[in-house]
Amino acid sequence: MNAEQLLFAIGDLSDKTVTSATLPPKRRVVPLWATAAAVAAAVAVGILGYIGFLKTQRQKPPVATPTPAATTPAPTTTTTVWGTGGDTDACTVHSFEYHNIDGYLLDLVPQEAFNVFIEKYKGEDMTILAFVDYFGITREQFVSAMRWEDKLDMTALQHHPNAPYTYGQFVDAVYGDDAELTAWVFDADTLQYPETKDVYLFDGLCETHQMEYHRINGELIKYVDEDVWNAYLAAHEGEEANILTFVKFCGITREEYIQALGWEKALDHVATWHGMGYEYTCGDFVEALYGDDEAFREYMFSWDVFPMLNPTGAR
Amino acid sequence: MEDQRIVDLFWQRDERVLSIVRETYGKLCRRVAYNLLGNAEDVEECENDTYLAAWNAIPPARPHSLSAFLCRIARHLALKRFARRTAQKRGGESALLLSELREVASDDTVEEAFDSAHTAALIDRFLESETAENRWLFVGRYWYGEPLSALSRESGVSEGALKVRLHRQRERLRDYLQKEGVSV
Repeated sequence: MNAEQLLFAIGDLSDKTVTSATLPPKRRVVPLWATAAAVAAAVAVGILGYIGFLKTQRQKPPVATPTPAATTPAPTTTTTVWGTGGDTDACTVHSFEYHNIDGYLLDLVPQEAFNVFIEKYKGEDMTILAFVDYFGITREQFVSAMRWEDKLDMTALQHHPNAPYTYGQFVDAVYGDDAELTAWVFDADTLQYPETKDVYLFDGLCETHQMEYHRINGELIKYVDEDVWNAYLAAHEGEEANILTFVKFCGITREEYIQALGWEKALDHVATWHGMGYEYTCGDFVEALYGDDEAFREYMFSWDVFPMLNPTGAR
Repeated sequence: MEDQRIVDLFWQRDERVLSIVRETYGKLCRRVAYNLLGNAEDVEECENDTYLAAWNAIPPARPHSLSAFLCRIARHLALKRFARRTAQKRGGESALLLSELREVASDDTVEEAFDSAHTAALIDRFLESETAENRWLFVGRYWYGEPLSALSRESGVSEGALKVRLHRQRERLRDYLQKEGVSV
């Protein structure tokens, strides 16, 4: 075993060890002088803080008016601001993205100004459109902040595994004049998950194959006749129940597979929402299914592509 | 929101769970990744990858401790990313952690059939025999990758004293692993 293997092995410590490793309460004796000094310091800080507070109150205009980012860009230095999903009550009319302000965009505006914004725009009014309008965020600033410069023609997988629009169309929906496009992009049904859900066919975690080997995407299930699906389930179980036998049994060709998943424009995408993602592209997965390279297929369906959840722990 | 409720949302394939997880455990995951990578851009990618990995893993997984589950993924992704970029001499604690752990396991030792799970179970047992302070110190340093300065602030013990304590702990771990037949 070398140091690197040891460092990885430490990552496999049990949950019990990790969650119970807490620092016991300190049993230090605090001298009286230290207590007195701490109290004095706290009082001083309190007084100074109160004076500072009074000063800022005097300097503030009677009515707080937000300053658009276009005139005062003032990007915050904090990196702990996260995206907001809008109000907690889910809106059933619009998609999640309509009421979501991504963390990247939040970084463009000062936290205090954002607080004023969410006080003013609540519930149905708190939208991405209102946000960019309120802070005067330009289209270019938006695209740059989202890191979408090179992705405008790509399917917006970041939003949904089967997103029917591109990042560019999303930007158009926010900034364009096409009301129809805006309505479609932000419609709750546009990003709805399909009624037919993915089905994981293996009982528990397979020690040999990564999870996508035994998972059938809901879109594929929908693609085949119910009778065929039921016949497949009846004839396959355990190791035999997998995506390879599924496409073979159902006679799904490479083209049909790509079409069923809506991957025509996503083959070069990292398979973020599919499989364990980010180690391979959607195209890689298709190649593993339909290609002739047996070694590649074996690798793609093994835990080597995503060893961190390997139930055997072997690396 | 309780962990099991969050896990239920994963099982229901409810997309909102991603923002809930981010709000609840984002800071923790970022901290683990940042400790190991020391690079904000990498950390951000690592964090997003962690959520997606969790999304893909649950179901079928049903973790009891979601924080440990997510941190484990973040930690692994960070180490993998670090390994890929070692040649570029990137920052972060990983290089330091590796140099410290070489006291326990030399890079000259090559074990072909390395069993990570078995080794982890042995370290679990080793840590059970350590004091609560030392357990906290080991997990903080080598699981979360916390820098010594942070551990020092949290514990009120000087960095120098922590270094000595960790050094002795590594020696004990090496002896223990050798005794248990692990080639180090």
